[in-house]
Amino acid sequence: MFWYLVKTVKETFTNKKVIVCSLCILCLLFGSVVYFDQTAKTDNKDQKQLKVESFGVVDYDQSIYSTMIVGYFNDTASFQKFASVEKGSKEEIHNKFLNGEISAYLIIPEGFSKCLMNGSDTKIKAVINTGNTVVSVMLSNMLDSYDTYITNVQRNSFALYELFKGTGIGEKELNKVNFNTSVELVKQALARDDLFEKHEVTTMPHTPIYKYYIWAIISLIILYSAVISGFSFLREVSLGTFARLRIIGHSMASVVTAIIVSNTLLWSLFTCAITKMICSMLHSKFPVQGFSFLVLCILAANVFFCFIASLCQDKKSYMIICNFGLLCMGILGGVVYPISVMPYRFVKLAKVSPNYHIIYKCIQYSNESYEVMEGSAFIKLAGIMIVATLVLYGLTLLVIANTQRMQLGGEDERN
Amino acid sequence: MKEIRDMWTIFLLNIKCFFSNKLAVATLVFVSAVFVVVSTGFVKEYGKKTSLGIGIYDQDQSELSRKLVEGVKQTKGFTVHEWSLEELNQALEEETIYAYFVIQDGLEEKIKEAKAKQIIHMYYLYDYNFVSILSDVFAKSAMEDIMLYQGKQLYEKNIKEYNLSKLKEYIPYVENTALSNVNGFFEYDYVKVDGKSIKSSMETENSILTTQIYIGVIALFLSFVSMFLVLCQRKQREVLKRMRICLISKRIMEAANLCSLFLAETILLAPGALYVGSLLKLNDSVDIITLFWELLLFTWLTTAVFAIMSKLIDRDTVYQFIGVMLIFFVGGISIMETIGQITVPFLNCFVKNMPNYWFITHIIDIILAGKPSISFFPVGMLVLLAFIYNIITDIKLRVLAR
Repeated sequence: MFWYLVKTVKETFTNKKVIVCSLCILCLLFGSVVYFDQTAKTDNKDQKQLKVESFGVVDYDQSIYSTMIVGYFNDTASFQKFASVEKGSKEEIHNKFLNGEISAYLIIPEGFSKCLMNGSDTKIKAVINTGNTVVSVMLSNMLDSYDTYITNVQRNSFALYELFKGTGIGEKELNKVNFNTSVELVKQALARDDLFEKHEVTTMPHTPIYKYYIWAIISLIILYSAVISGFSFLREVSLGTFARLRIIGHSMASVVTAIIVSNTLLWSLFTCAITKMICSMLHSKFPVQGFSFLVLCILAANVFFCFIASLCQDKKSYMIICNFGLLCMGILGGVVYPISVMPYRFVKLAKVSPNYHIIYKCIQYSNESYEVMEGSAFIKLAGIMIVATLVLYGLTLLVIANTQRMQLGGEDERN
Repeated sequence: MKEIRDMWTIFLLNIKCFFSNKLAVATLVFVSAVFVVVSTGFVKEYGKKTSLGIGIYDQDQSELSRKLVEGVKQTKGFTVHEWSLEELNQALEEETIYAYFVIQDGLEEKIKEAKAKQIIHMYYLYDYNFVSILSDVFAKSAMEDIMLYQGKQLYEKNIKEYNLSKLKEYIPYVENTALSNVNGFFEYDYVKVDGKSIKSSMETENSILTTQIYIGVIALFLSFVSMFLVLCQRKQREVLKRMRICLISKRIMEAANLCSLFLAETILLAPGALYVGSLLKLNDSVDIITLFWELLLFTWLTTAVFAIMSKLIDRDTVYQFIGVMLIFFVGGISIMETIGQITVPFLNCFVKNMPNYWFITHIIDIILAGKPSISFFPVGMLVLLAFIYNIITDIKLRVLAR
């Protein structure tokens, strides 16, 4: 069985093009990992304070209310995580907006607070850059919600003023009550964060986009290595290996097994080595269970693609089917873009794709606080994968035997 | 005259070769069917809320809590899932939702007593910046009732303090009060900043994220079809070589091959543009023609790229492998850049010159503003690629001649 492994290793390491291409790809991959990791670390001075956007405010009102609103933005930790607030003149803020330094800005008009108290019409102008879709949607929602807060403050302030006025209270007391109740209502609106008790889920931190794509590339390596396995199988078919084996009375199962085992061993070593190196660069762990999972995936993928190759019997159709199939699985499974940005319908469909399972399992295994699956649970998963692999292996042998029999029948007829 | 005749002959031959290749026809039909199925899936999501998902679990089940949940569902920009706690936790770990909220028992009583503090538990993945303002957006739906009962408490407190007579009940009075600013306090000005210039834009709609991703998927399919058609032509090399016996020059043959690809794509894309236009709800014929032109330019561009690749790579399997990797890589980072997920400056510059990025942004411009900005990028790129193709063909001819 291992003769095929020795043969493959000899062929691979004597082919200079393969070695050069592999080295180039590996250098590109590791270089990208180091670059993106360093860039991410440089951008995040404080890991928990990710300032992505800047938000400008032009305050012509300069009243206690407008200052409170601006001050609130600057003082609220939750808002600061999303954006930093810059106050300035119209020209300064507008220039920064044009330069892309800020994503949106507000213009609070003069007399805004007086209009708020009197219940008369007043508008804050919000200028939003729609260039970044997600940010503009979030900003619009945020301003909508602030609109609701201000509207409700005004509504209740106005109602309280009218009700107290109707009681015949003196003017001095009325102004004092009006001021106090308005401040209380504004404080209530500004203290809406107290409505929530927030829990950070630290067992699964948000995965930065570059780490996500590293695991997506690993999933592609696993599946394309299996495509090569099927290709090797077809090469043996085209070289007439099975026909010759039939003549000497040798079992074709041994060749098929040799192809699968040797490719699985080679690619497992390669993939595990890359995974280990990437985890070392990112200072992440990757447990033994994770490596076992990867090996099982490679084995299952190898058998699957050998099965597909046995059905195709022809390199051209095999390559087209594999490429298109892997493209569809890649799109569905989150290789092209993360599942989280897909419509919900496609999120459910993603579980059909092997890429999805490989990517998410790798993310889990590389997470410091992830507790590996219990032994029994992992053995159950491994058992299911091995059974599925054996079924596919059996089907592959059946298809090959059937094909050989049909070819033999055809030769007999010609004779 | 002879050259035109020769080109036409090769074009017809290419068509015949393609249609006699059952696998090629079956693959094209299958790819189109998959595209129609995928488009249907996207269309059903089109017009609904975007894929920014959040979850809610309502333990209170009171009138106020239901009002809060329904209010959150009306918020533009979010898909709200009401699932069990286990499902919400799993969705959060898989990052299919950004956060989930658990409305505790007793919400209604606490709001009515004006003591609504820490009554909603929010679970989110740490250091995800959007999540930090999700609570603001969520609280909006509860604010009306919270402020109402807070106002009622202030009213009753001051009535007692100043020993005033309570002539009216607070809540019915407020509910009947007319507001001057019924249209809100914000006046929105949506613009698109393009370098130093600024132009009007429409509000980013709920469905824009989904549409951008859908257009990205269209680009991936078109790229695959281009790669496949170039691959089919490679296989016809042996047939086309025999044409040389008819004294058709290699240069004419190469030009005719490329032109026949472009022509075939033009014919295939005509119904495609109508279909995609109907899905994107483009009713104006000018918009559909513009869409068709954009689809055509993009397809020609990718075909030219793959044709050059085909010239440089001898083996079919290597060509296919590199082609699919390119499709994955370029397609993926273009979509991610469009939806604002890439923050690395070096990569930003690189991606903005990709055909996929240009394609997505231009189609969105057609949908939002009715006409895209004039860009010489695709035509310029096509001319450059045609020039490169010509040079490579020349070099190969000279190498073969030696």
